Amino acid sequence: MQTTLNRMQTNHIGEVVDVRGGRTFRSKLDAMGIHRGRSVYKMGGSVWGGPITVRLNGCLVAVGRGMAERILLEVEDS
Amino acid sequence: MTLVLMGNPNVGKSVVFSRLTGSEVTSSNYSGTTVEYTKGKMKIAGQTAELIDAPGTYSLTANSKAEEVAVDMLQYADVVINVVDATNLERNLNLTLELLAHDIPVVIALNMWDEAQKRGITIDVEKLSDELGVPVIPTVATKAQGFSEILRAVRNPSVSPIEEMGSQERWNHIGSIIEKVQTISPREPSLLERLETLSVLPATGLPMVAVVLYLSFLIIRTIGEGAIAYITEPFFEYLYMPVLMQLSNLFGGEGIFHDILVGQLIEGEIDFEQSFGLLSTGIYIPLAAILPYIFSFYLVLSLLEDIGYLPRISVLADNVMHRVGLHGFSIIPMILGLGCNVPAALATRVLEGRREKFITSTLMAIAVPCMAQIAMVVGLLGAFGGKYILYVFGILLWIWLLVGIILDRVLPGFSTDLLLEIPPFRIPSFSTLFRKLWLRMIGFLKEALPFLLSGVLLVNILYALGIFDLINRAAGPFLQNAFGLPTEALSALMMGFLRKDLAMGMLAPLGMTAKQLVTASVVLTIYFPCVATFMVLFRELGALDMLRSAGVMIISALFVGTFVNYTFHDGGFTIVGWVLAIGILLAAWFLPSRSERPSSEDEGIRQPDMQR
Repeated sequence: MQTTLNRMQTNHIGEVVDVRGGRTFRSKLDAMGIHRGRSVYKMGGSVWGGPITVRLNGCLVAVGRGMAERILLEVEDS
Repeated sequence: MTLVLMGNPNVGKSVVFSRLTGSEVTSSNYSGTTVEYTKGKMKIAGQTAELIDAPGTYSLTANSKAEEVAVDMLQYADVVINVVDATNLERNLNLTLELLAHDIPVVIALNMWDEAQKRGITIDVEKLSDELGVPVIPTVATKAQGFSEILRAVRNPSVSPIEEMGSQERWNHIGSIIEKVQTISPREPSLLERLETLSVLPATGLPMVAVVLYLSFLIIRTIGEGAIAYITEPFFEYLYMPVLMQLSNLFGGEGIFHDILVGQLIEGEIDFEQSFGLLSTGIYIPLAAILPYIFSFYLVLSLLEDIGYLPRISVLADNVMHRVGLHGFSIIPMILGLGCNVPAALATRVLEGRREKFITSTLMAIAVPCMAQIAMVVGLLGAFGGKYILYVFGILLWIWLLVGIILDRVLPGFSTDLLLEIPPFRIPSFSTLFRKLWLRMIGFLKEALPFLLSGVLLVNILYALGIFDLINRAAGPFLQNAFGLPTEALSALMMGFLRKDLAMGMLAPLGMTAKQLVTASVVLTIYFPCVATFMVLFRELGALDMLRSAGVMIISALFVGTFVNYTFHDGGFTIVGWVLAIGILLAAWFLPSRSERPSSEDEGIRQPDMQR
C-alpha cells in the first residue's frame, strides 16, 4: 500500500518510492539520505502537528509536515 | 599549501580542526557573505600549511548559503581532509563520493571510530580505502588518535579514480560499498541511545527541555554572579578605581573632558554605574557587568551545542514557532536572547529568509529580556510578591505571541519547513569547547565594546546639550496619562537604550507601586533594544527592516503600557482585562493571512548550520 510520510502509521517502516517536488527539494532530502529505495522508520509522538521524526540508517532526521506530505512510501498492509 | 576540512555537520569536524592547528586560529566571514568560518596554521614536514574549516555540508549541490561557501572553498584546496562519521558511514559517503569525483587529492578521516565500535559497527578500513582509491584513517578526534597517520597521508595524497555519477547511481554504489566493508552486530541500545530517542518525543522530550533550560539558567546565573562578585568587581573597585581617581584629580574633578572621560562624581566619588564617563561606566559595564554573564552563558550554550542537545530543542519547538511564522530553529536566538540580546541578534544570521530574520529579530528584541534585566526585575518586584514577576513574564509571552501571529498574517511569504538532522548525544571535547568559548568572547567584545562606548559618549553629549530635559518635559505628561508612570521614570526609560538593567535600577528609588513597576518593566523590555543590540540588528537587517522593526517595537510598547495601566488593578488583571487579552489574541489568529503556502515545486527549506 502506498501512503505519505504524514499519513503513515507511527512505529512502522516504509520504503521511499517517490519524493514529489522540484530539483532543489529533492536534492536536499537526497543529501540527508531520504531518496528512492531507502527504508525509513517513523517514530511516534509528534501529536500537535510538529515535525515528524524518522530513523534512517542509524540517524534521526526531523521532517516538517509540509515536506512529509510529499514523501511517498510503500508500506506493508497491516 | 592549503588544506580544507570538509564533512557533514555533526561529525566532529571542529574537534579535528583544533587537534590539527596551533593557537593561531582566526574566525572571520567568508568574503561577501555572513557565513563564518575558521582558519588556522599547522606544520607538515617542517613546513607551514593553512587549514580551513569549511562549514558542514551534506552534499556539493549547494542547498544553503553555508553549503555554497563550503563548495566555493574547494577551489583553494591542495588537499581535502574529508571527515566522515564512522557511526553513520552510509549517509556520509554521499558527500565523499561527490568529493572524490573532483580532481583534488582527498584523505579520509574516519572519525568517531571508538563510538562506532561501541555501537557494534565494524568497518574494514583497508577494503574501504581500496573501494574509494584514497587513504582512509580511523580517528578519535576527542582523544587525538590517528592524527600522525593523517599528517603522513596528507604528505603523499592521491586522487581517486571515481567518476561523477547521478544521485541514484551514487546511492546504489554506496550500498554496494557498505555491503562489502561494513558489518553491524545487533545489540541492545545503550542508555544514551535510549535517551537520544526519548529526548525528541514530545511526551518525554518537553519535560526534559524544561529541566535542561532551568538548570542551564541556574548555572549561568551562579557562574555569572560569582564571577562579578569575586573577580570583576573587586578588580575594578580595588585596582582600577585608584588609577581612575588619580586621573580625575589630574583634571581637577570637573570640566567637560573630565565628565566625558571619568564622568560625574557622585558625592566626590566615582560610581561605576552612574558616573557615565567613557573610562568609568563605559569600560565597567561591558567588562565587569556583562562579560561574566557572556562567559557563563556561552559556556553553557557551547556545552549544550557540543553534546548535541540544541537541535532537539528546535524540533520540539517547531510546532509553536510555526504559529508565529517561524520554524523550530528560530528558538535558538530566543533562548540566546535570555542571556544577552547581542549574541541573539548575531544568531539570526543563520536564518536565511528575510521574512524569518525580520520576525525572529523583532520578536526577540520585543519580548525577550536579557539575563541582567531579568535579575533586576526579580530583585525589584520580588519584594512585592512572586506573582508580579509572573505577570511581567506572562505579559511578555502574550505580546510575543500576539506580535508573532500578526506579523505572520501580515507579512507576505511563508514559514519554511524544518529539515534537520538530530545528532546522537556526544561527550564534548573540552579543549575544543574552550577554544570556541574564547573565540566567542573575543567576538562579543569586538561587537559590543565600540557600541557601548559610543553610547556612553552619546548620552553625555545629549545630557550636556539639555536634550534629555527637553524630552522629559515634552513626553512626561503623556507618560503619566497613558502608562500611569511618574515623569521621573522617563529618564530611566531613556537610559534603557543604553542598558536595561541599569534603567531598572534607576526605577528603584522612585518609590513606585507594584503596578507601576510591572508597567515599567514590560515597557522597558519592549520599547527598544539596548544600543549594542540595536547596532547588530541594524547591520543584520539593513536600515529599512530595522526601521520597520523599530516601528513594531514602539507601537507594541505604547499598546502594552496603556493596556496594563487600564486593565491591571489591585494586584491582577480585571475580568475585562483577561477577556480583552484573550479576545485580542483570538482576533489576531483569525486575521486574513497574506502568507501563502508555497505552490511552486521548489520549497525553500532551511538547513541551519548548527555548528555556529
